[in-house]
Amino acid sequence: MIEIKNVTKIYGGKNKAVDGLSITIPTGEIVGFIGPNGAGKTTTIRMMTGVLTPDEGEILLNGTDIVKEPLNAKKQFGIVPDNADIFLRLKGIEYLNFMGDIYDVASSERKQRIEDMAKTFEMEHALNDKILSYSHGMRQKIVIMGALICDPDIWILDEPMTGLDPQSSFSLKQMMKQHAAKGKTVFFSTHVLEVAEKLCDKVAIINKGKILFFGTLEELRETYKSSDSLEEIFLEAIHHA
Amino acid sequence: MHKYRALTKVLLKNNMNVFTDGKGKRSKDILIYMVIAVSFLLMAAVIYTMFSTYFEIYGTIAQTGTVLTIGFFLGSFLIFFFSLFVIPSIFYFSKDNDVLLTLPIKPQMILSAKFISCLLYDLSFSCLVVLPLAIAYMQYMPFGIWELLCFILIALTLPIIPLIYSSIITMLVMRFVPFVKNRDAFNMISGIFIVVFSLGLSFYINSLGAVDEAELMMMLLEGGNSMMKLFSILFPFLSSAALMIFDGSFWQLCLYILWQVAFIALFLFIGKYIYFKGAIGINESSSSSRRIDLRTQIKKTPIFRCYMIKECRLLLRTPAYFLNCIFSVAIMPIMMAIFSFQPEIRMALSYIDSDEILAYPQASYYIILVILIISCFIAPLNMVASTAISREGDHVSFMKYIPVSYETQLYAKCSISILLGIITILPLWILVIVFLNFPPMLSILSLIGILLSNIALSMIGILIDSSRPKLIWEQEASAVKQNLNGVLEMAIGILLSILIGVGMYMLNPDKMVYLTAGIMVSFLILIVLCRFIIRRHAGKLFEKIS
Ligand SMILES: Nc1ncnc2c1ncn2[C@@H]1O[C@H](COP(=O)(O)OP(=O)(O)OP(=O)(O)O)[C@@H](O)[C@H]1O
Ligand SMILES: [Mg+2]
Repeated sequence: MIEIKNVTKIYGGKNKAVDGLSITIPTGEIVGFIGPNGAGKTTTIRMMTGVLTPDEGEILLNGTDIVKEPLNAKKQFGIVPDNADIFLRLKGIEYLNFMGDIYDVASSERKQRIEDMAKTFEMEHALNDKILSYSHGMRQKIVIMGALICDPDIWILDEPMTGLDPQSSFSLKQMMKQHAAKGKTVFFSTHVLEVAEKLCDKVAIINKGKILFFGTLEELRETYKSSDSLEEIFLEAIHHA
Repeated sequence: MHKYRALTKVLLKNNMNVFTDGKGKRSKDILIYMVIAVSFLLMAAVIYTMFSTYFEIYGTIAQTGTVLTIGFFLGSFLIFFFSLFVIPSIFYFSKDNDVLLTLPIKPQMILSAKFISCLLYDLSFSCLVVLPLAIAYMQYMPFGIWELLCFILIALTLPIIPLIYSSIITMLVMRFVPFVKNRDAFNMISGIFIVVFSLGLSFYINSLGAVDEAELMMMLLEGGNSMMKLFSILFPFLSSAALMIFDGSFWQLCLYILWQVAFIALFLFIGKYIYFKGAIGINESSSSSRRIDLRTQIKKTPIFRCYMIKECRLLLRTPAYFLNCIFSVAIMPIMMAIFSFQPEIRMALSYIDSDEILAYPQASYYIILVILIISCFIAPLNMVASTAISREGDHVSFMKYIPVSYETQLYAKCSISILLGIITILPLWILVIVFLNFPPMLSILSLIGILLSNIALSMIGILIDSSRPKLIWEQEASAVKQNLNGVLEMAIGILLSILIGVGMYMLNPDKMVYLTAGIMVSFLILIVLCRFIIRRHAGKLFEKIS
């Protein structure tokens, strides 16, 4: 469970990127975070993961405060950041091993998970190469594998589908569903409304740092009865804010 | 034409954000500039003292012009040496090439912009040598506006030809050394090759003019700056630099400028034809597409060690980091070994009677102190600690979202810098121990001193970089080479060296034991202090980084 309480982030003294945002992401559900460019999605995720400190408010991950008890809170989640070009000079397997060590995963477990995920994402033949030689989507995949190697309780993913081929994107969605079905937390941001529509139990729409809507898709359709596609709803919500 | 001007401006701006991220508090910056300024002034003072002694000695035998040439030679060679590590990283192993190569601009454009950014960076070097030389000269010779203008001109243009040397060698190597399959390894190898080849070549060219002792004496006595040619073999333009000042000759000034123009033209001409061929595809990496055996590849490592291994891998595998942080210091012991096997040096060393020296009880402490001075000077040179956070660049957030304390991460990064620093100075230490037959107790004491100075300076370096990392860079080379934090740690190292030197100079010989002890204790205090700051404030420092 992720509890975000009244969180504000101000860049450079005046630019309110996130403005008094409150939202509770429950367990057992997939929550999608949607909003236009510059809405504050990445900023929110960065605060949730301890990369930025909120100027106001607090964030609890499974009840642990990310500011007060950073190390414990960081053990609760795995994150896929928005930029996957990381550690390009490491080999895929070296990166996964490194992440395994960081999150203290036993070798046997680690081997099992790497094997499984490599098969799902068709990365078996790439693990021995440097990430530098990977394509955009392969880099995204290795980062996802690194984030999930410790089997974290909470999944936080910032635009995880960018660059993934249909097969991998399908597999990732399956994995997210399974994880939520186990009663865990999945929170991800996306621009692709179809993904949100098909995958999410709930969506949070954010614009200019504020939550415009948070609830199930049915509730969303109720609220915006005049529009019939999610795209229209989205555009209407953003414009009438 | 104005399209070209705009492009140069952008390229320059990108390559030139030398020192800051563009943000940060002014007051803190002023303090930093002051520390650097003070240490540079002190360095300049040391260099000045050296040159005025030279002028005094050589002036009496009519070799004043020779001293000028020596000074310019020193500056040129230093610039040449250090540029061997920088030029390949900036011209070739640089991320921004991917973008630049897609733009419809001529290779000369890219080259000139990159070259100018290197040149501006090296001006500080040339000023550091030329200005003290000018002041020393002023006190021995009549000094007018002509000389002043000449010195200023030289200070501003001295780096051009040494930089062109290393640029041309780099371009030739990158163009004509055959590719190997693994481009990454190739980059590394060609980086090493460029340095070794250039140094070898320059030693060889210099040795062409080697003379034996009798000839040397003849030259010395001959007067009339006869020894000048010994120092202008590698850099022929140096003799016109010296003569335009010494003879006040306008003709030599023209010749000097002609040299510069000719070399710039040569550089652009060669660049036009071979730069792109070497630069294209530089970021390729090999992919074997082999299936791996997970059983052998997976093993659990403690966090501290796995973090260190990761850092080492990145340092060794990223050509810009490898060349500037690892290879540039790793080559020092090698160069020292080459030097110490030179016949003249061997002869000089054989005159040293270790028993006689060590018969004085204070002598061994002087030696330990000198080792400490060198250690303080060398420790910051690898810049591994002082750019540890800067090197993370865009991905500094990784340090923040993993569940590993900042303390652990900082110490893991720090320990690599410490190890590297010790490896760099160890050959010198061994040399001293062996040649002087140093007593075991004192050998261990000096080793502890080396250890302490390296730990202290690395911790200071990493604290500097944690408090003001340079995270926005287009190319890896500018994370290390064009980073004020590295300069700042060096400045602190220089200040410490000079402090020890002043202590040695001021105190009575029988006080050296206390000086040595005092310095060791100060290092310890510094270490404890840094440890305390890291423990208490690392979190707050990282909070500010975004
Ligand atoms: N490092 C930064 N410094 C200053 N302002 C920033 C910084 N990062 C983001 N912002 C500002 O914060 C606001 C929110 O940005 P954020 O990156 O959170 O948007 P986003 O919702 O993730 O957008 P996108 O869909 O494009 O990824 C924007 O107005 C942006 O200009
Ligand atoms: Mg974003």
